Amino acid sequence: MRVVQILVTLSFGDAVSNDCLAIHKLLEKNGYKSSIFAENIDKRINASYVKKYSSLPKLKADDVILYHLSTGSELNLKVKDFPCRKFLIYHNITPSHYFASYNGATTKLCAMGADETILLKDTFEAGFCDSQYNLDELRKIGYTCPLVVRPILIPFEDYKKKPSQEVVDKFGSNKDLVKNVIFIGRIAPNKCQEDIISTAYAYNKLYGDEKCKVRFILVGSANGTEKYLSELIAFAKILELDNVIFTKQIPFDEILGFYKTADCLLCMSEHEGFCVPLVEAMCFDVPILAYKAAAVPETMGDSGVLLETKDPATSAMYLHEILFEKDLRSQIIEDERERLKRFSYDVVSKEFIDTLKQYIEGVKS
Amino acid sequence: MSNVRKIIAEKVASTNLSGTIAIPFDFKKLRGKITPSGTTRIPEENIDIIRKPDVVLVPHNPIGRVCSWFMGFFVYGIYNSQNKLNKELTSVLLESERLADEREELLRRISDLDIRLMKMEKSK
Repeated sequence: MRVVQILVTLSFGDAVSNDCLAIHKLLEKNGYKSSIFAENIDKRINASYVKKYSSLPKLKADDVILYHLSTGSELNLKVKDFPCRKFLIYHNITPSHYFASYNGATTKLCAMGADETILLKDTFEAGFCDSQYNLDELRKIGYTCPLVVRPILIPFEDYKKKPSQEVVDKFGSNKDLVKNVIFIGRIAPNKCQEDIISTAYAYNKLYGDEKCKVRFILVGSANGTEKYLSELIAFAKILELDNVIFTKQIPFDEILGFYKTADCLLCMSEHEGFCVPLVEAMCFDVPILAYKAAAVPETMGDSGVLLETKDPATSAMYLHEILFEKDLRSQIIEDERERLKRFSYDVVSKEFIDTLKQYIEGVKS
Repeated sequence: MSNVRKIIAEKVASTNLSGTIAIPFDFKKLRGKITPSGTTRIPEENIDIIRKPDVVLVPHNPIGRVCSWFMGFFVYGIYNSQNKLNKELTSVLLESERLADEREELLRRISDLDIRLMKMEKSK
């Protein structure tokens, strides 16, 4: 029996790809013969167990496919015809309407993905979902197979690598005079970075006279969402904000540098199937302020602070409390450390492998 | 888990400042306004809002062909209700002195590209 993971794109460093690679290692460690096949593979991923989908060998009835579903693709419908056992790993698909004004191709892919997810409802024996939010979504569209919630496997070891000294020096100094509020994630309309800019505006209005200033750093690639980025930059300029920084795509060590020097992670996203940056922030002891939407409250658990409104004055006031009330900050960090235990590699990997065994071998551990 | 959320919520509620800051420009007005050439179309009624000395502005017409080459820049043209470029307003906005360096650099790069494009077209 072989366990084959299939996905549309294996990128470098994104959550789905990291999850796929981590699952591969886990499968091998547990004695499974594992490999990964993808239609598109990032050139930086050079591993013998990663191959182009076009070279997928003929599968046998007892082989197992773990299919990562996170976007639209013709590949999605081919899965139906594989003559083997099929299990789903569902990462959610961003609703297409978010991209309608920005990127026709992405809009189409998201819309296709939503339709294809419905068409695949009777294809899988069972599945894994990153969150209860994702699981509920599948149930709503008619999935009746066994489904379990299994958070994304996060490679926490990577976060121990050395952060960019340049970023640490530039953004980690003068903390008494300037605080860093970050958001890490693709520049994408569903992530609503404009609401972070609105918060920055309200913050300047309410607290602009204070000695300690705050800068808002939006870290993330705008690949495919250049129009949205242009609008965000224009918005910040129209509001005359000089404390909003767009880094665009940066190397991993620089991302680590921003986490290391952050005083708060502000997330105003409206659609997340899990939201890995929240867990990353917990890992770096960065207090989180997040808008309560989609899977965000689930990932946060009882930790961090949730916003029930997008009113910019309210988010600015919450932010000010988090940045400057030392006791509250300490308590938030303590809560986040507790919450982080839920996502530890050991906990999630055990859950995954135990459930997989149950699924494919009928073994209860 | 702690009661941090409750503490902060109560403190913020007690200030009575929620809802008091109005954002002076609706982000949605920018949404989807970027044309395939890369030009952001700003309707005339918003002219006062964008008549800011630090808004990057270059005329649309002379550079329309190569706008999309400049993903890092956003290029404004002022359009009237007939969707035609309002040259008068655009040229007024171009006069901002504080923009001089940025504008000249942008125009220089556009000019360079325009020449390269013309050469490419000639060589076809």
